[in-house]
Amino acid sequence: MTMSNCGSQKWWLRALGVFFIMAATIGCVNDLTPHGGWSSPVVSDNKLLIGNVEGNLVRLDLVSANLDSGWSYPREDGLGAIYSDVLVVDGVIYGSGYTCRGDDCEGEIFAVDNIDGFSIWGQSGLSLKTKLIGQLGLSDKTLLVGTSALGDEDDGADGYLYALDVTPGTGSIVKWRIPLDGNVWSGVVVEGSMAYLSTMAGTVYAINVAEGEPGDIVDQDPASRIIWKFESGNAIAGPLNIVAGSVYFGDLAGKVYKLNVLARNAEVKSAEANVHGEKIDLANGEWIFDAGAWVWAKPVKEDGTLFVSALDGSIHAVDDSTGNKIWSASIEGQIVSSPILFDRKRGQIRERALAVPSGDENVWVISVIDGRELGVFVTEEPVKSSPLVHEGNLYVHTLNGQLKWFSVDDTTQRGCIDLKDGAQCN
Amino acid sequence: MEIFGILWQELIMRPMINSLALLYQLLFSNFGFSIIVFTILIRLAMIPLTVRQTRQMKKMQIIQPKMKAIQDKYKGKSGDARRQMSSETMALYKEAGVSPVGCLGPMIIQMPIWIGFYRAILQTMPSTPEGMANLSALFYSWNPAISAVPFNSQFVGLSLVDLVSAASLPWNYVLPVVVGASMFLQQKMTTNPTTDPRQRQTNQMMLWMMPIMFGAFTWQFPAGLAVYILFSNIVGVVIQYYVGGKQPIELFGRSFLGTEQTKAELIAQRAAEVAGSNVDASSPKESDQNGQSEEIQRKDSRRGDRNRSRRNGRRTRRRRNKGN
Repeated sequence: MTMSNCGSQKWWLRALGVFFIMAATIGCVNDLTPHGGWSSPVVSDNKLLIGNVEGNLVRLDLVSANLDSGWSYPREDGLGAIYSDVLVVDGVIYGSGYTCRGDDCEGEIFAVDNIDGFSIWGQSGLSLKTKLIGQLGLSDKTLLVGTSALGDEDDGADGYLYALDVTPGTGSIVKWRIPLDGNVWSGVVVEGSMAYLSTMAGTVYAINVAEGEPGDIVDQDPASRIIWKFESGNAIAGPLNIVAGSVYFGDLAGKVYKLNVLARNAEVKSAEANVHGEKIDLANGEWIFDAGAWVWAKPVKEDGTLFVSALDGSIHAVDDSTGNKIWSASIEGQIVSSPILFDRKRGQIRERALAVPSGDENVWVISVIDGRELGVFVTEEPVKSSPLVHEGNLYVHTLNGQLKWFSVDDTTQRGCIDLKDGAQCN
Repeated sequence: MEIFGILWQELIMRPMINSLALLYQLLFSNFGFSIIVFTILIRLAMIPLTVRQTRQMKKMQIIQPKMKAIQDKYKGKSGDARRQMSSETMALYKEAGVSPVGCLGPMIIQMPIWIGFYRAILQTMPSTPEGMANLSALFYSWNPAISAVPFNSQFVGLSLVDLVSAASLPWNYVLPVVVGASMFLQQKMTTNPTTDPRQRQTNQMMLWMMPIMFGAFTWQFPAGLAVYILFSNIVGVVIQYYVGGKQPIELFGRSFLGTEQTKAELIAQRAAEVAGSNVDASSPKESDQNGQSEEIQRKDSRRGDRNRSRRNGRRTRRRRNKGN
């Protein structure tokens, strides 16, 4: 681009024009800043916990339907964006959030007392210069956190699995960490002594997170905890779901996988070596289903049927034993977060349905039998978090930072609260 | 306003994002190559506009003495005289075949491309979940590159999506300097010599200020955009060299490239300057312009004489009538 002379002598006008264009362009760097609003509600002891769009963990009293005044973590400025749901175990709330200015990211993993909302790890949680997007996992006294690349380290790893010691009074929080081949957006799923996670490089990791004896090889070389890997070849952004010995996940090529983790773990034990699988094993009941568009939402399974949602708004019911499609339906807008299964009463009939959040607006009610649309929870705002059903209400965190709740049966709205300031809304 | 958003999305953003993604797949999954090839294609597609801009600039340059004469003629006047000046200026434009928008048009067209490209880089390599979700909606359904997301943003040790200021040494210093230098070179090639001292001062100001501003701003740009600007400038220099008739590039008192003929012209121009001629910077082109200027003055003088004789005639007639 040149600013050539065209006869005008108003050089300062041209300079001002360039300046404004530059300023507008640089202003667009805010596109790199995470906005959050994807955190789903979690209920514990009649309190609903959720990360708001400013990066504060807040608590709603389900009896009074008001935010608990003065209960917030952090107390003042938020962490930026909280994408994952919190984990509540033994009165302690675990979660993570991060913010980025340009490519300079600040993440924090926190452990907060459920009663007073104060950090149990001193003034604040564990700070890492990285993006913290996925769900945390907990195995006994080990908190497992998947990260993106660390901004202050240059060891070539695009992500890590951190194992943090959550034993009360522990001196050093970080027990070990394993470098990974990509950013972890999917979060960590724990099943027994095994943790499963996936990366944006398209690899699923099965990692032994059992406590090691002092001097064990796993303590000296944490990477030896990797039991097996599966490389799908395409980015995996959404969470994994482990049900009855199988792991289900979708990738950004629109493929949905079922892997038999029991068989893969057993194979490793018998071979006493790491297996880096790249192919599915049909003999062990594994399959691949093509959803036709990016799959980000966690697949949900019930009664031999897997419900898969894609970013183009399509929902597919898949036979769990064969991987064949049973029915397909679609809603308006992207489906980013996991649908949930719930019971609703229509007249005298109780029916099972899927509540599917739409990135455009609303939460759609879809029949599990044939994919028919049964109704809609009108949020009037985009939804990128999973809804929660609790005591006859469906709670939804909308992208504009409000929490709305509806009657499960007739889908009418019962309440709305702004999670930033606790004000009632419509 | 919504319609503008849709048009922006459909006419600028989606074609750019899909082209970048497709090139990424074709060019060995290398986003740096994708940006470079895309830049070259855009600059090639804009050659007709560049040629038009160059011609318009030359014409504008040629009529500058006439413009100045008109401005001098109406200097300090207002009201009807200003309107008369505008109409004379427009008539001059028309006569010379100059469109006032003609030389600004290509520049204006480049602006949305440039801003769109910046946004396309960020949106094609999103770093947040919402950015990633938005990206999926921007892909054409037929584009096979959709399954290659996320794209590898590494290129010769640079992360194309990260800010230049955050790049490792020496890139964080080299890129802004190289971008500024390439812009300086391009600016120098597109700036026409002028006889008007104010215009010359403006040109000098732009010649230095633009590269310095761009270099400074590059520091806060994603590296991918810096690569785009750099290659856009390089291609621009090459195009300008051929479109501008292979004029030699004069840097630090030496001339580079150019044909024997254009070099000879440059030497003649310098010789004229050294000779301390009363006529400012009398390059062959400017000699022409000065010649034209003299021609205008002669015409003006003849016109003035005609007007004077008409006025004298009217006065004589009035006197004669009074006498009668």
